[in-house]
Amino acid sequence: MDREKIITDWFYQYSDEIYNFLIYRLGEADVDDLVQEVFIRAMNGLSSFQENASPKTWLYSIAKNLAIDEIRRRNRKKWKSLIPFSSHHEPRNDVTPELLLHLNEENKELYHAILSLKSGYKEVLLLRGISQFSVTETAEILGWSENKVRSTYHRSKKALKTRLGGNFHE
Amino acid sequence: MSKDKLEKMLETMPQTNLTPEKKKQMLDSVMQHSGKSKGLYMIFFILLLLVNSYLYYLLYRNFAHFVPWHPHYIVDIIYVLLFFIAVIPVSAFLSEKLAIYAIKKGLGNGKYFKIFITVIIIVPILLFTFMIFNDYREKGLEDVIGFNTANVDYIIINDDVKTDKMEHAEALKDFLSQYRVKKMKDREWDGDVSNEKGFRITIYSNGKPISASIYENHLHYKNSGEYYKVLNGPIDMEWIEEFQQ
Repeated sequence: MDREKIITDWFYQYSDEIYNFLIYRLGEADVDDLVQEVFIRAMNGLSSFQENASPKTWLYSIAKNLAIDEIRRRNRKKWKSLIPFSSHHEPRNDVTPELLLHLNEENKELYHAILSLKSGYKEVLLLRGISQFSVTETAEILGWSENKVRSTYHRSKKALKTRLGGNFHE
Repeated sequence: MSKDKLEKMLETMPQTNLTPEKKKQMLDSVMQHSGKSKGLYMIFFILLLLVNSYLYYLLYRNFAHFVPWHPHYIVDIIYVLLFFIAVIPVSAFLSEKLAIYAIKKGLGNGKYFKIFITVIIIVPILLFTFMIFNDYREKGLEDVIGFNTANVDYIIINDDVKTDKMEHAEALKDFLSQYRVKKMKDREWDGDVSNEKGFRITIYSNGKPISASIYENHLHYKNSGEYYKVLNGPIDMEWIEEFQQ
Protein backbone atom coordinates (compact mmCIF):
# COMPACT_ATOMS: atom_id res chain seq x y z
CA MET A 1 0.00 0.00 0.00
CA ASP A 2 1.30 3.47 -0.86
CA ARG A 3 3.12 5.19 1.99
CA GLU A 4 1.19 8.43 1.59
CA LYS A 5 -2.14 6.62 1.55
CA ILE A 6 -1.26 4.83 4.78
CA ILE A 7 -0.25 8.04 6.55
CA THR A 8 -3.34 9.84 5.25
CA ASP A 9 -5.59 7.08 6.63
CA TRP A 10 -3.78 7.12 9.96
CA PHE A 11 -3.95 10.88 10.11
CA TYR A 12 -7.72 10.91 9.78
CA GLN A 13 -8.09 8.09 12.25
CA TYR A 14 -5.72 9.19 14.99
CA SER A 15 -4.83 12.87 14.67
CA ASP A 16 -7.49 14.01 17.15
CA GLU A 17 -6.28 11.60 19.79
CA ILE A 18 -2.64 12.53 19.23
CA TYR A 19 -3.65 16.19 19.40
CA ASN A 20 -5.37 15.73 22.77
CA PHE A 21 -2.52 13.64 24.14
CA LEU A 22 -0.01 16.38 23.31
CA ILE A 23 -2.21 19.12 24.79
CA TYR A 24 -2.46 17.24 28.07
CA ARG A 25 1.15 16.13 28.06
CA LEU A 26 2.66 19.53 27.38
CA GLY A 27 0.05 21.68 29.10
CA GLU A 28 -0.22 23.80 25.99
CA ALA A 29 -2.85 24.44 23.34
CA ASP A 30 -0.42 25.24 20.52
CA VAL A 31 0.64 21.74 19.51
CA ASP A 32 -0.38 21.72 15.82
CA ASP A 33 3.24 21.63 14.64
CA LEU A 34 3.98 18.72 16.91
CA VAL A 35 0.99 16.76 15.63
CA GLN A 36 2.29 17.27 12.09
CA GLU A 37 5.77 16.25 13.20
CA VAL A 38 4.38 12.97 14.61
CA PHE A 39 3.02 12.00 11.21
CA ILE A 40 6.10 13.24 9.37
CA ARG A 41 8.25 11.01 11.57
CA ALA A 42 5.81 8.18 11.03
CA MET A 43 6.11 8.61 7.28
CA ASN A 44 9.91 8.72 7.45
CA GLY A 45 10.05 5.68 9.70
CA LEU A 46 7.32 3.64 8.02
CA SER A 47 9.80 1.07 6.77
CA SER A 48 10.63 0.18 10.38
CA PHE A 49 6.96 -0.21 11.36
CA GLN A 50 6.04 -3.86 11.75
CA GLU A 51 2.80 -4.59 9.97
CA ASN A 52 1.36 -6.75 12.76
CA ALA A 53 1.88 -3.97 15.34
CA SER A 54 -0.79 -1.42 16.21
CA PRO A 55 -0.40 1.87 14.32
CA LYS A 56 -2.13 3.69 17.17
CA THR A 57 0.38 2.62 19.81
CA TRP A 58 3.25 3.31 17.42
CA LEU A 59 2.01 6.84 16.73
CA TYR A 60 1.52 7.44 20.44
CA SER A 61 5.09 6.32 21.16
CA ILE A 62 6.33 8.80 18.53
CA ALA A 63 4.18 11.51 20.14
CA LYS A 64 5.52 10.64 23.59
CA ASN A 65 9.13 10.93 22.42
CA LEU A 66 8.38 14.16 20.59
CA ALA A 67 6.84 15.60 23.75
CA ILE A 68 9.99 14.76 25.70
CA ASP A 69 12.15 16.43 23.03
CA GLU A 70 9.91 19.49 23.14
CA ILE A 71 10.18 19.77 26.92
CA ARG A 72 13.97 19.55 26.72
CA ARG A 73 14.01 22.19 24.00
CA ARG A 74 11.92 24.49 26.17
CA ASN A 75 14.19 23.95 29.15
CA ARG A 76 17.17 24.93 27.03
CA LYS A 77 15.32 28.06 25.88
CA LYS A 78 14.58 28.93 29.52
CA TRP A 79 18.31 29.00 30.26
CA LYS A 80 18.97 31.21 27.27
CA SER A 81 16.34 33.68 28.42
CA LEU A 82 18.31 34.18 31.66
CA ILE A 83 21.20 35.66 29.67
CA PRO A 84 20.87 39.47 29.62
CA PHE A 85 19.99 41.10 26.29
CA SER A 86 19.56 37.80 24.56
CA SER A 87 15.96 37.08 25.40
CA HIS A 88 13.28 37.41 22.79
CA HIS A 89 9.59 37.50 23.34
CA GLU A 90 7.46 34.58 22.22
CA PRO A 91 4.17 35.63 20.62
CA ARG A 92 1.43 35.35 23.17
CA ASN A 93 -1.19 32.75 22.45
CA ASP A 94 -4.50 33.55 24.12
CA VAL A 95 -5.92 30.08 23.70
CA THR A 96 -5.15 28.00 26.76
CA PRO A 97 -5.82 24.28 27.12
CA GLU A 98 -8.51 25.10 29.68
CA LEU A 99 -10.37 27.19 27.14
CA LEU A 100 -9.74 24.80 24.29
CA LEU A 101 -10.92 21.78 26.26
CA HIS A 102 -13.74 23.66 27.98
CA LEU A 103 -12.64 22.47 31.39
CA ASN A 104 -14.92 23.09 34.32
CA GLU A 105 -13.53 23.91 37.75
CA GLU A 106 -13.26 20.31 38.83
CA ASN A 107 -11.56 19.26 35.59
CA LYS A 108 -9.19 22.23 35.80
CA GLU A 109 -8.03 21.17 39.22
CA LEU A 110 -7.47 17.60 38.05
CA TYR A 111 -5.72 18.86 34.93
CA HIS A 112 -3.28 21.04 36.90
CA ALA A 113 -2.70 18.26 39.40
CA ILE A 114 -1.71 15.93 36.54
CA LEU A 115 0.63 18.56 35.09
CA SER A 116 2.35 18.95 38.44
CA LEU A 117 3.36 15.27 38.60
CA LYS A 118 6.66 13.91 37.33
CA SER A 119 6.76 12.87 33.70
CA GLY A 120 6.51 9.08 34.20
CA TYR A 121 3.36 9.47 36.32
CA LYS A 122 1.91 12.01 33.89
CA GLU A 123 2.39 9.71 30.92
CA VAL A 124 0.87 6.63 32.49
CA LEU A 125 -2.10 8.64 33.78
CA LEU A 126 -2.73 10.11 30.34
CA LEU A 127 -2.42 6.78 28.57
CA ARG A 128 -4.20 4.50 31.04
CA GLY A 129 -6.57 6.97 32.67
CA ILE A 130 -7.54 9.44 29.94
CA SER A 131 -6.80 7.64 26.65
CA GLN A 132 -7.95 4.32 28.14
CA PHE A 133 -5.14 2.19 26.74
CA SER A 134 -4.77 -1.30 28.16
CA VAL A 135 -1.80 -2.26 30.30
CA THR A 136 -0.23 -4.04 27.33
CA GLU A 137 -0.71 -1.11 24.99
CA THR A 138 0.62 1.35 27.56
CA ALA A 139 3.68 -0.85 28.11
CA GLU A 140 4.27 -0.88 24.36
CA ILE A 141 4.01 2.89 24.05
CA LEU A 142 6.24 3.65 27.01
CA GLY A 143 8.67 0.81 26.40
CA TRP A 144 8.03 -0.54 29.91
CA SER A 145 7.14 -3.95 31.29
CA GLU A 146 3.48 -4.54 32.12
CA ASN A 147 4.33 -4.84 35.83
CA LYS A 148 5.97 -1.47 35.74
CA VAL A 149 2.92 0.03 34.06
CA ARG A 150 0.61 -1.40 36.73
CA SER A 151 2.76 -0.33 39.67
CA THR A 152 3.46 3.13 38.24
CA TYR A 153 -0.22 3.68 37.48
CA HIS A 154 -1.09 2.72 41.04
CA ARG A 155 1.52 5.10 42.46
CA SER A 156 0.54 7.90 40.11
CA LYS A 157 -3.08 7.72 41.22
CA LYS A 158 -1.97 7.88 44.85
CA ALA A 159 0.20 10.90 44.04
CA LEU A 160 -2.71 12.52 42.25
CA LYS A 161 -4.95 11.91 45.21
CA THR A 162 -2.39 13.56 47.47
CA ARG A 163 -2.21 16.57 45.14
CA LEU A 164 -5.96 16.91 45.05
CA GLY A 165 -6.29 16.44 48.79
CA GLY A 166 -9.81 16.30 50.13
CA ASN A 167 -11.30 18.55 47.46
CA PHE A 168 -13.21 15.83 45.69
CA HIS A 169 -16.25 14.44 47.29
CA GLU A 170 -18.37 11.39 46.43
CA MET B 1 -11.22 9.93 47.69
CA SER B 2 -12.11 6.64 46.05
CA LYS B 3 -10.10 5.38 43.17
CA ASP B 4 -13.23 4.63 41.20
CA LYS B 5 -14.25 8.26 41.19
CA LEU B 6 -10.76 9.36 40.20
CA GLU B 7 -10.61 6.86 37.38
CA LYS B 8 -14.03 7.93 36.21
CA MET B 9 -12.94 11.55 36.23
CA LEU B 10 -9.85 10.69 34.23
CA GLU B 11 -11.97 8.74 31.76
CA THR B 12 -14.30 11.65 31.22
CA MET B 13 -11.65 14.38 30.94
CA PRO B 14 -12.73 16.57 28.03
CA GLN B 15 -11.17 16.13 24.61
CA THR B 16 -11.28 18.40 21.58
CA ASN B 17 -11.14 17.76 17.85
CA LEU B 18 -9.26 19.43 15.05
CA THR B 19 -11.53 21.16 12.55
CA PRO B 20 -11.75 19.51 9.11
CA GLU B 21 -10.05 22.55 7.51
CA LYS B 22 -7.22 22.38 10.03
CA LYS B 23 -6.82 18.66 9.43
CA LYS B 24 -6.58 19.16 5.69
CA GLN B 25 -4.05 21.95 6.13
CA MET B 26 -1.93 19.84 8.47
CA LEU B 27 -2.10 16.80 6.24
CA ASP B 28 -1.03 18.86 3.21
CA SER B 29 1.92 20.11 5.22
CA VAL B 30 2.87 16.54 6.17
CA MET B 31 2.72 15.43 2.53
CA GLN B 32 4.79 18.43 1.40
CA HIS B 33 7.47 17.41 3.85
CA SER B 34 7.40 13.93 2.40
CA GLY B 35 7.99 15.26 -1.11
CA LYS B 36 10.84 17.43 0.09
CA SER B 37 12.24 14.51 2.04
CA LYS B 38 12.29 12.36 -1.11
CA GLY B 39 13.86 15.18 -3.11
CA LEU B 40 16.55 15.74 -0.48
CA TYR B 41 17.20 12.00 -0.34
CA MET B 42 17.83 11.84 -4.09
CA ILE B 43 20.12 14.86 -3.99
CA PHE B 44 22.13 13.51 -1.08
CA PHE B 45 22.30 10.08 -2.68
CA ILE B 46 23.70 11.41 -5.94
CA LEU B 47 26.23 13.62 -4.14
CA LEU B 48 27.31 10.89 -1.73
CA LEU B 49 27.57 8.34 -4.50
CA LEU B 50 29.82 10.67 -6.49
CA VAL B 51 32.02 11.44 -3.50
CA ASN B 52 32.15 7.80 -2.32
CA SER B 53 32.91 6.57 -5.83
CA TYR B 54 35.78 9.01 -6.15
CA LEU B 55 37.17 8.02 -2.73
CA TYR B 56 36.77 4.36 -3.65
CA TYR B 57 38.66 4.95 -6.85
CA LEU B 58 41.51 6.68 -4.96
CA LEU B 59 41.60 3.74 -2.55
CA TYR B 60 41.83 1.35 -5.49
CA ARG B 61 44.74 3.24 -7.01
CA ASN B 62 46.69 3.29 -3.76
CA PHE B 63 45.81 -0.29 -2.89
CA ALA B 64 47.12 -1.56 -6.23
CA HIS B 65 50.35 0.34 -5.57
CA PHE B 66 50.94 -1.22 -2.17
CA VAL B 67 49.95 -4.79 -3.06
CA PRO B 68 51.64 -5.52 -6.37
CA TRP B 69 51.96 -9.28 -5.93
CA HIS B 70 48.31 -10.11 -6.74
CA PRO B 71 46.96 -10.74 -10.24
CA HIS B 72 45.20 -7.49 -10.99
CA TYR B 73 42.15 -8.92 -12.64
CA ILE B 74 41.09 -10.74 -9.46
CA VAL B 75 41.42 -7.56 -7.42
CA ASP B 76 39.53 -5.65 -10.10
CA ILE B 77 36.63 -8.09 -10.00
CA ILE B 78 36.49 -7.94 -6.19
CA TYR B 79 36.63 -4.15 -6.28
CA VAL B 80 33.77 -3.94 -8.76
CA LEU B 81 31.66 -6.36 -6.71
CA LEU B 82 32.40 -4.46 -3.51
CA PHE B 83 31.28 -1.27 -5.19
CA PHE B 84 27.83 -2.73 -5.84
CA ILE B 85 27.40 -4.56 -2.56
CA ALA B 86 28.98 -1.98 -0.24
CA VAL B 87 29.50 1.49 -1.68
CA ILE B 88 26.05 1.92 -3.24
CA PRO B 89 24.03 0.58 -0.25
CA VAL B 90 26.13 2.60 2.22
CA SER B 91 25.54 5.75 0.15
CA ALA B 92 21.80 5.04 0.11
CA PHE B 93 21.70 4.42 3.87
CA LEU B 94 23.65 7.59 4.70
CA SER B 95 21.51 9.62 2.30
CA GLU B 96 18.33 8.54 4.06
CA LYS B 97 19.70 9.47 7.47
CA LEU B 98 21.03 12.76 6.15
CA ALA B 99 17.69 13.65 4.54
CA ILE B 100 15.75 12.92 7.74
CA TYR B 101 18.25 14.91 9.80
CA ALA B 102 18.15 17.82 7.35
CA ILE B 103 14.34 17.93 7.42
CA LYS B 104 14.43 17.79 11.21
CA LYS B 105 16.80 20.73 11.31
CA GLY B 106 14.51 22.82 9.17
CA LEU B 107 15.94 22.32 5.71
CA GLY B 108 12.44 21.32 4.59
CA ASN B 109 11.13 24.80 5.38
CA GLY B 110 10.35 26.95 2.34
CA LYS B 111 13.13 29.53 2.53
CA TYR B 112 15.99 27.22 3.53
CA PHE B 113 14.90 24.54 1.08
CA LYS B 114 14.99 27.01 -1.80
CA ILE B 115 18.43 28.24 -0.76
CA PHE B 116 19.71 24.69 -0.48
CA ILE B 117 18.33 23.64 -3.87
CA THR B 118 19.79 26.76 -5.49
CA VAL B 119 23.23 26.06 -4.00
CA ILE B 120 23.05 22.38 -4.99
CA ILE B 121 22.26 23.30 -8.59
CA ILE B 122 24.62 26.23 -8.97
CA VAL B 123 27.72 24.80 -7.27
CA PRO B 124 28.06 21.73 -9.54
CA ILE B 125 27.41 23.88 -12.61
CA LEU B 126 30.15 26.27 -11.52
CA LEU B 127 32.52 23.41 -10.68
CA PHE B 128 31.82 21.70 -13.99
CA THR B 129 32.31 24.93 -15.90
CA PHE B 130 35.58 25.53 -14.10
CA MET B 131 36.74 21.98 -14.81
CA ILE B 132 36.01 22.34 -18.52
CA PHE B 133 37.73 25.71 -18.60
CA ASN B 134 40.74 24.33 -16.75
CA ASP B 135 40.88 21.29 -19.01
CA TYR B 136 40.91 23.21 -22.26
CA ARG B 137 43.00 26.20 -21.25
CA GLU B 138 46.50 26.70 -22.60
CA LYS B 139 49.16 25.16 -20.35
CA GLY B 140 52.81 24.22 -20.32
CA LEU B 141 53.81 20.82 -21.74
CA GLU B 142 55.59 20.10 -18.46
CA ASP B 143 52.26 20.63 -16.64
CA VAL B 144 50.62 17.92 -18.74
CA ILE B 145 53.46 15.45 -18.38
CA GLY B 146 53.88 16.40 -14.75
CA PHE B 147 56.77 14.78 -12.88
CA ASN B 148 59.06 15.67 -10.03
CA THR B 149 62.69 15.21 -11.11
CA ALA B 150 63.63 14.21 -7.56
CA ASN B 151 61.24 11.22 -7.74
CA VAL B 152 62.24 9.93 -11.18
CA ASP B 153 63.38 6.28 -11.15
CA TYR B 154 64.31 6.20 -14.82
CA ILE B 155 63.31 7.48 -18.25
CA ILE B 156 62.89 5.40 -21.41
CA ILE B 157 62.77 7.00 -24.85
CA ASN B 158 61.41 5.06 -27.83
CA ASP B 159 61.64 1.82 -25.76
CA ASP B 160 65.30 2.02 -26.56
CA VAL B 161 67.26 4.50 -24.53
CA LYS B 162 67.13 4.39 -20.76
CA THR B 163 68.56 6.78 -18.21
CA ASP B 164 68.28 7.09 -14.46
CA LYS B 165 70.34 10.24 -14.06
CA MET B 166 68.68 13.20 -12.40
CA GLU B 167 70.49 15.73 -14.62
CA HIS B 168 68.91 14.04 -17.67
CA ALA B 169 65.47 14.28 -16.06
CA GLU B 170 66.05 17.96 -15.29
CA ALA B 171 67.26 18.67 -18.83
CA LEU B 172 64.20 16.94 -20.27
CA LYS B 173 61.88 18.86 -18.00
CA ASP B 174 63.50 22.16 -18.99
CA PHE B 175 63.16 21.22 -22.65
CA LEU B 176 59.49 20.35 -22.35
CA SER B 177 58.68 23.47 -20.32
CA GLN B 178 59.35 25.77 -23.28
CA TYR B 179 56.32 24.45 -25.14
CA ARG B 180 52.71 25.47 -24.65
CA VAL B 181 49.89 23.04 -25.41
CA LYS B 182 46.12 23.04 -25.50
CA LYS B 183 43.81 20.06 -25.19
CA MET B 184 42.08 18.84 -28.35
CA LYS B 185 38.74 17.13 -28.61
CA ASP B 186 39.20 13.42 -29.39
CA ARG B 187 37.50 13.75 -32.79
CA GLU B 188 39.98 16.45 -33.82
CA TRP B 189 42.91 14.05 -33.45
CA ASP B 190 44.18 12.75 -36.73
CA GLY B 191 45.52 9.25 -36.11
CA ASP B 192 47.84 9.56 -39.10
CA VAL B 193 50.91 11.27 -37.73
CA SER B 194 53.33 9.72 -40.24
CA ASN B 195 54.11 13.17 -41.62
CA GLU B 196 55.38 14.30 -38.22
CA LYS B 197 58.51 13.27 -36.41
CA GLY B 198 57.92 12.07 -32.90
CA PHE B 199 59.08 9.96 -29.99
CA ARG B 200 57.65 7.86 -27.22
CA ILE B 201 58.60 8.63 -23.67
CA THR B 202 57.97 6.73 -20.45
CA ILE B 203 59.01 8.25 -17.15
CA TYR B 204 58.96 5.99 -14.12
CA SER B 205 58.32 8.09 -11.03
CA ASN B 206 57.88 6.38 -7.63
CA GLY B 207 57.34 3.13 -9.51
CA LYS B 208 54.44 4.50 -11.55
CA PRO B 209 54.78 5.09 -15.32
CA ILE B 210 53.98 8.36 -17.08
CA SER B 211 53.71 7.74 -20.83
CA ALA B 212 53.28 10.00 -23.82
CA SER B 213 53.79 10.09 -27.56
CA ILE B 214 55.17 13.50 -28.49
CA TYR B 215 55.11 14.72 -32.09
CA GLU B 216 56.22 17.97 -33.59
CA ASN B 217 52.80 19.59 -33.26
CA HIS B 218 50.81 17.11 -31.22
CA LEU B 219 50.92 15.16 -28.03
CA HIS B 220 49.11 12.03 -26.94
CA TYR B 221 49.24 11.74 -23.16
CA LYS B 222 48.64 8.05 -22.55
CA ASN B 223 47.96 8.15 -18.81
CA SER B 224 44.69 9.98 -19.41
CA GLY B 225 44.26 9.18 -23.12
CA GLU B 226 43.98 12.90 -23.89
CA TYR B 227 45.22 14.68 -27.01
CA TYR B 228 46.91 18.06 -27.14
CA LYS B 229 48.10 20.37 -29.88
CA VAL B 230 51.38 22.21 -29.51
CA LEU B 231 50.79 25.93 -29.78
CA ASN B 232 54.38 27.12 -30.23
CA GLY B 233 55.71 24.14 -32.16
CA PRO B 234 57.21 22.38 -33.87
CA ILE B 235 58.93 20.59 -31.03
CA ASP B 236 62.67 20.39 -31.68
CA MET B 237 63.20 16.71 -32.54
CA GLU B 238 66.91 17.26 -33.12
CA TRP B 239 67.27 18.08 -29.47
CA ILE B 240 65.64 14.76 -28.62
CA GLU B 241 67.98 12.90 -30.97
CA GLU B 242 70.97 14.51 -29.30
CA PHE B 243 69.47 13.82 -25.88
CA GLN B 244 69.20 10.16 -26.76
CA GLN B 245 72.85 10.08 -27.67
